[in-house]
Amino acid sequence: MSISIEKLSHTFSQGTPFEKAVLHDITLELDAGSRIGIAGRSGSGKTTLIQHLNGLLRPTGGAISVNGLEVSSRNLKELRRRVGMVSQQPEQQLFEETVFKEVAFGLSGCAITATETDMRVRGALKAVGLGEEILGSSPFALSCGQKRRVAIASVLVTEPEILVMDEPTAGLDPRGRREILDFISGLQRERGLTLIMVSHNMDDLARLCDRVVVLSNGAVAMDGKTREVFGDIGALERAGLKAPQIRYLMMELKRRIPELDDTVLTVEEARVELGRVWGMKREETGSHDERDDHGEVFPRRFDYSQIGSENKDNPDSDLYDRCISC
Amino acid sequence: MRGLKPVFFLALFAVVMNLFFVSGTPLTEHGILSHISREGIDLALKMVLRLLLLASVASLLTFTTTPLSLTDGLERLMKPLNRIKVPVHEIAMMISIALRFIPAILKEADRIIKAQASRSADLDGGNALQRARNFMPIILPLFAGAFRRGDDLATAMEARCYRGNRGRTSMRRPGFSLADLTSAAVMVVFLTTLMLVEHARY
Repeated sequence: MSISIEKLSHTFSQGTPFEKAVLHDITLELDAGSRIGIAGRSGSGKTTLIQHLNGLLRPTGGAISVNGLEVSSRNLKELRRRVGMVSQQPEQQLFEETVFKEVAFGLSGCAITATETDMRVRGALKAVGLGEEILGSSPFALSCGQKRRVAIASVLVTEPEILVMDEPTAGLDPRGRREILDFISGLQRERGLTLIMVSHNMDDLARLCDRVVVLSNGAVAMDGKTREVFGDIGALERAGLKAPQIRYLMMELKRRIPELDDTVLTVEEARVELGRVWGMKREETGSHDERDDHGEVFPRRFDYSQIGSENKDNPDSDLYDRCISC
Repeated sequence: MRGLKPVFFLALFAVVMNLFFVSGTPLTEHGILSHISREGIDLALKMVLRLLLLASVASLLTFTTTPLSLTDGLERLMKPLNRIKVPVHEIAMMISIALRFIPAILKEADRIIKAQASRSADLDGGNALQRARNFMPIILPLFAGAFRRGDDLATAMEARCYRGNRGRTSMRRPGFSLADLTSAAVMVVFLTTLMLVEHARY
């Protein structure tokens, strides 16, 4: 399901002295099945924009249509079934007596049988990796991670075609972050969902999204493939953001090793690139390094003899010196 | 003037009621004006003035004094109640914390309403029972959030050495100033004049 946004504007409290224009003339085409990240500093209008996607807010200017149908009050119910929105820190919205009821809450407006509801609830729980034994427990008795998963399950239960996530990794430790991103990635691939992820964590966006839209002061500042957007550090910083952390390290290294390709997005890519260049350098100097099972160079042993003033002519020694001294 | 808005309709209603439904000496023999009596006008004017005064004084208070100063003043006034074991300081602290959290809770309520509406668009339909049940998805998380906030706040206050009223001093020390004395004097003069005027009529 695709979303078409045309010159969307939104002004809060229009006509009152508290009027505030939050979004200006946003035009975007969000294709079905793609993974789109929406980035921007706090206050740039990200949350306001995504609240238009499921009709929570209506545009004060311009239009938005989902799958060809314009968003209006008549098709809100259907729209909210098809566009699943997981808000920030969703574990704070749990309220039912049992996990079953909590997950089934999303189906309360639908005219379906009890067996169908049961099936869907169980399916949703399975999709988030939770077992059926918690169906009877109180949502408040679960751990934080489980609560978040239950909250996500309660959105997945309506089998949406578009999944909108607002800061899915907020408040999680690095492992939790990795787990939830992997889960979202797997889910999107499995069900062919259109994924829209709002985040101001550049590393998360780099990992997950094919396309990134950067908002700045309520307008689209950048829009393109992830690698291109994160390649233009100047524009990113003008919009109040930074590139994924690893890029800054690679840029610094590139100043000393011109052959390095610094347009990496993740630590994995950096490792591969560094390995490649290291291999190249080693071949130039004719020394050997261990290669791992994939044939990649793994500089496990550090050749200390290269360090020191005796090897000032050797281009590699400059690199080692600097690395040690900094 | 903004503060007078709430009373406007009440004042209008009072005027109409008093003008047309108070019996007494009529203004003219015939026509519509015969339904209006002198006493009616009298009462109507008095009522309107009272309402206007009430509203303006209340507005003046809220426009010139911050909620925190009001609470401080309230606490000072209630101090004598300490002797009969009324927890004055705790009450004042509760009021100021509640005031401080109103905007935060409003914001959270908005967030929760939006989140629940995204899950199930059925939050405004049905009969009275249905509508009452529709409050649960909002009230429960709100309460849970409030308890969580309260817990965090208590820990934070304890970490900053708050132990209740024992040995507690304040940064601001509101005291009597010339302004207070002058306004008190003006009020006394005003009241006496009013009473004398009322008395003189009879």
